[in-house]
Amino acid sequence: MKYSTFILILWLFSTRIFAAEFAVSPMMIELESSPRVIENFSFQVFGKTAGEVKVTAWDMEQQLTGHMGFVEVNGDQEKLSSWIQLDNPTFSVKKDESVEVTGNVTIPPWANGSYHTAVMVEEARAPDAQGVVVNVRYAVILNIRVEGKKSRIRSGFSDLRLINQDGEFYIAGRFVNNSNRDYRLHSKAQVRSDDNKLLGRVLLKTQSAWQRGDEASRVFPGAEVEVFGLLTKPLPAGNYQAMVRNRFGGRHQPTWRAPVNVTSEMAKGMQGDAKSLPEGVALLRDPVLKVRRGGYASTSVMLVNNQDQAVEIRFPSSADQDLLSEYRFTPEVLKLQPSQRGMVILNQKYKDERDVQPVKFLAQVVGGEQVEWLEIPTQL
Amino acid sequence: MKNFKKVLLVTVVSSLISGHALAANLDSDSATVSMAVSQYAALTGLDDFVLSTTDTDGAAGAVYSGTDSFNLESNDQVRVSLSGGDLSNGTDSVSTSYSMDDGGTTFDTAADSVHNGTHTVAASATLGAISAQKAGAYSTVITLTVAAL
Repeated sequence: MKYSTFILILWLFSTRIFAAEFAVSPMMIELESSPRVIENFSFQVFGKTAGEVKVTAWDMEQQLTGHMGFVEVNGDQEKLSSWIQLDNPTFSVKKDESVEVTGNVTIPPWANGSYHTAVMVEEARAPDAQGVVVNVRYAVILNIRVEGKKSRIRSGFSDLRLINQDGEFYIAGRFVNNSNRDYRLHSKAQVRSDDNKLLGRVLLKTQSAWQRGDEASRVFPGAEVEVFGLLTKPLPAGNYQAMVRNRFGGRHQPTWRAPVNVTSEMAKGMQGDAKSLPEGVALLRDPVLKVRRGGYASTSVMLVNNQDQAVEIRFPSSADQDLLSEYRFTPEVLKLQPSQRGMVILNQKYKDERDVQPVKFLAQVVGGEQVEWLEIPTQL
Repeated sequence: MKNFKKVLLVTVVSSLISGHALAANLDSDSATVSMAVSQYAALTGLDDFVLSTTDTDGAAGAVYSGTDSFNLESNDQVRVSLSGGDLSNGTDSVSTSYSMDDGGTTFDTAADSVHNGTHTVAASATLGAISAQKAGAYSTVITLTVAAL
């Protein structure tokens, strides 16, 4: 080994910085309050290793995908982050010891509705390292519902359309929560022919809700989100009516309609993928893997429950796969009501990125006391 | 007579006390013991890391990559999201992409479930033209946020 190489390796290892490690509990604090009230809150930071901790309030903004984005406070007095006072914004924590973080929220007299903020817990550390410096933040979500005059649940819907993404067809639209509280959105689309014949139903959810396996999409006050669902039934070329029915906070919202055009090219794409659905729980189509550099691959797995009873589909998490170093289904358990469709995301990593082949998985389908196995073959 | 009254009073009081004690012995009661467990999360084992290349070091288009793994333990569903900027030396920057496990920058643990598993963070930086970035040390900060929403 050359002397310079030896020095380089020594430098790489000597400059490896070990970050302090914490655990945080609880991750969610929910409070019911009233205007002009001061609410106290607290949470624990446990030191997995010793370190300096910094605690700061951040604003939360819901993104189009339904995910919550965390943004630095800009002093907006209408936001919960500006009503927070933290008693110990920086402190030291010892290994295997806990520190209680305390604070209070002063509710303004005009507050009414639901408010959210994130109290971020992270290591207080100077960014002096080389390479990729890793910072881990725990977002303790503070969710306050302030009692006040109840306002009507109001929402909007727009941009209802058919979209083609990577050869799959989705019904999509934009939903806006114009209320002052967050609610859960149950959204369903219907596709009808010119003579009003029902041709297909599509469950619409945000990307966040699909990923989490939530039954409904949570939409926060003032947020606009994109909801979408896979159109599983092939349609011939022509003009159709798409109709969306939304139930928000348990209340039916106005129905939204829009014309949808299926071009002959789109119809060809739909027919190409379609196949007849067998009895029981079935795949709507064989999942096609998108393989990326480094041997990473992912796909969406669409399933339908053709049984007349609810089922629970349990995806494998630790079975041996010779070709893969790891894989994960998200969610690991999917519950489907009769006739309901669902989607899970499969992520996997090949041991050798030069040896990428289709892989089969077995999922357990549990309906009542009956247990069956469902084969999930993937394609490249 | 006075003594008789005293004896009667003591007898009545003692019978009331003993009767009450007997009733307490015969009655049964139940109490519901409950507790609420808070949502807990710990992300451990993740350290700073250095990118390296198998291409010609410094050549245009050379890809530098690096990974590190971490353990995530939680007693309910949590979301981990990754954000980060390009590697920079303060003047020049190198286009950098990040991924966790599969190429995405967000993942959720299973709903209504505990979680204890290993995950990976990967970074990949691709050099531009030879003269587009000065030789030397480049760094950036990536942030992994663990949240219950």
